[in-house]
Amino acid sequence: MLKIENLHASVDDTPILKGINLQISAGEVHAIMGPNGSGKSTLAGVLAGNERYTVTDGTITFQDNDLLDMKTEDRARAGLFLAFQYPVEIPGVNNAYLLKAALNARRQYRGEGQLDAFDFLTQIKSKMKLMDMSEDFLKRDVNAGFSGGEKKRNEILQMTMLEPTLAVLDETDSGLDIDALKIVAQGVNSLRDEQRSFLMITHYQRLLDYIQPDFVHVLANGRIAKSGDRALALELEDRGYDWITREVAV
Amino acid sequence: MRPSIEHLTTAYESFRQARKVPSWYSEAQDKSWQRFAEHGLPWRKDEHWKYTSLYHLAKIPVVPAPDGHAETGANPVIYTGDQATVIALANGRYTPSSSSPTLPDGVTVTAGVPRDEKRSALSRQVVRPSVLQDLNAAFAEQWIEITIADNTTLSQPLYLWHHTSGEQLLCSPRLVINVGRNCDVTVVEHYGGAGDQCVINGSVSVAVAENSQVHHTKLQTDHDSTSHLINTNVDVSADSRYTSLVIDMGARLARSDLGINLNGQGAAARLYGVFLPAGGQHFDHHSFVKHNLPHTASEQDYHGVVGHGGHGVFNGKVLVQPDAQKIEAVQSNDNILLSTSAEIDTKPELEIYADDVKCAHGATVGQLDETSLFYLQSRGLSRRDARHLLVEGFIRETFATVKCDHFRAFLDQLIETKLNVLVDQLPLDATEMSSSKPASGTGPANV
Repeated sequence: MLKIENLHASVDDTPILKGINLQISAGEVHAIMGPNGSGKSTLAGVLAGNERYTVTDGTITFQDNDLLDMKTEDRARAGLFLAFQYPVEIPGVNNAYLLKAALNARRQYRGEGQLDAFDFLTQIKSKMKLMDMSEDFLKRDVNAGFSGGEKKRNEILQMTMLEPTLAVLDETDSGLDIDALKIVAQGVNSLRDEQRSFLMITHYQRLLDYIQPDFVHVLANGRIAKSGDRALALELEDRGYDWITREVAV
Repeated sequence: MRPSIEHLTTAYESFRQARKVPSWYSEAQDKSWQRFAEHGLPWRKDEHWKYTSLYHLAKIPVVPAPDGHAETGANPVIYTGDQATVIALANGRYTPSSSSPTLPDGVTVTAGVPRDEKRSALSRQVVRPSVLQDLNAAFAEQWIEITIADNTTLSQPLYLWHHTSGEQLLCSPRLVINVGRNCDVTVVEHYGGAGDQCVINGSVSVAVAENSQVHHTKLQTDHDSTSHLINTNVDVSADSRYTSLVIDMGARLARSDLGINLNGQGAAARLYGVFLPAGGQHFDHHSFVKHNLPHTASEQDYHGVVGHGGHGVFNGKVLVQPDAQKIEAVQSNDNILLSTSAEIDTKPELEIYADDVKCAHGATVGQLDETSLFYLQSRGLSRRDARHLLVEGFIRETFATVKCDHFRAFLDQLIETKLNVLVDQLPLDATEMSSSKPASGTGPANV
């Protein structure tokens, strides 16, 4: 599904990613953890095609396509989804309008006809229920005046509607209280199947109590310093990141 | 040097010989003309004309719009049908034949010279007197007076279709709108038409009696050679709310002066504006809100989207009189520049003489936000669609107060058409030409 090889990327000529290698197969859930400044969000940004980041070396293959050669919108249409760490407020554009535009863009890319308005409503209403969101949400402007938790829930709602093949969650759990975290996890878990993969970037082990990963990787100083299963996350919870950072430095 | 008024003087000479009005009125017109002629056209050294030049007016040999020849004509963008009561004005004159056959209960329209000076709105206090008002008074032959009786609620907008046709005409519409007590009405003024190099110099006077709600939209889609100069003066009485939405899309030059007198406790005004100049267009909004009494409120929110070669001006002023305590005034102007050749001048002003008030003002000028564009693209929208959506959203924020869904849909459609010009003519960003793929091999890219 996704294959990252020797990925190097920088921001304003400062190298951030220094040789990432990572392979994700269909149906797998990977968690990336790591201290602040280790390059977690840069990796998410590069995957989605944020032009703030310059890829200086390496390749990314997504479903047999050269991902780095694709425009941001084409990556999305091909099935890549990024849940933002800080979702953007878009005043004057309501949630229903954006979702319809996004779904239709994807359908057009895949040679499918326009979305049926009735199907859309039925579908979104059931997803909103899953995410514990009230119906007036559809008419509200995208993230405008939303609380932090509402914004994150909106990201997951968009994800459940867009049904990506690869979802990248950039610190979706940060700043959520336990109830909101459970709802977010419920949204993610509802999408899990053998075709769909997840890359969860997180700072806290807590998220992994609710969404069980198949693999856990620790990012330190722009590289994957250690990989393992859930046990690694628990070890990190106990011992912190320092011991890994030291191992990398050696 | 002030712009020459030679052509206007010639026009006035021929006008005064042909006019058929009562003598008191012709004397009043001569006085107005004299005031105008002594001062001349405004220019950059006049404080409120710093950013807007009228020099091109000196070159147009205008003649006063003649009576009886103008036609309202068919216009594809007109908002009509059974959704509104149409009151048609052709080159500033009321044309009942193009208007709705019946008026709703409580609404009367009269057109002509006022019966006497005292009864006319000539004696009304204007918030910011202007020589262009004098010029209007000198040429205006017909006062169109719309009266809305007490306790009138209108289910449909009153749609005033100001149509301009002909060449190099000076149109001087003079409109008086009197709204009674306990009313709830929507008035839409739509200025448009195919007139070539016409000058519309209009004066609109609105008086709102106690405890009424008035939504007043001025939509401007004039021909791109038109000079549109409209002065609107509004008196708001106690417990009434006046909401204004001014939208500029057409014309070569559009200058809107909007003066508000908050004359009673509990009076409130909300002023919204959208201006979308591009390709040599110049749109100027001057608003002036006077808080004359305590417990009055005003809010101003103007949004400018300036395209390639466009120039936008906002100058909003709030004046709080010494006794006007406990008032609230908010003023903001946000602008998006879509091109390096787009220009905006913005100046929110507060002048406060009371000491227990809540006032705020601010202005922003920026480009489309890259993070927002990226967010939308990451949801599958093309860069073009993402731009469209952001600009549309930015404009639509000011439409929230438009109560009539059907009219809002009409506005959306007009905006969409204008945006197709404004946004789609933008050059592609350099970043869009290249991909984020690394150059083959390692080391610095040598492509």
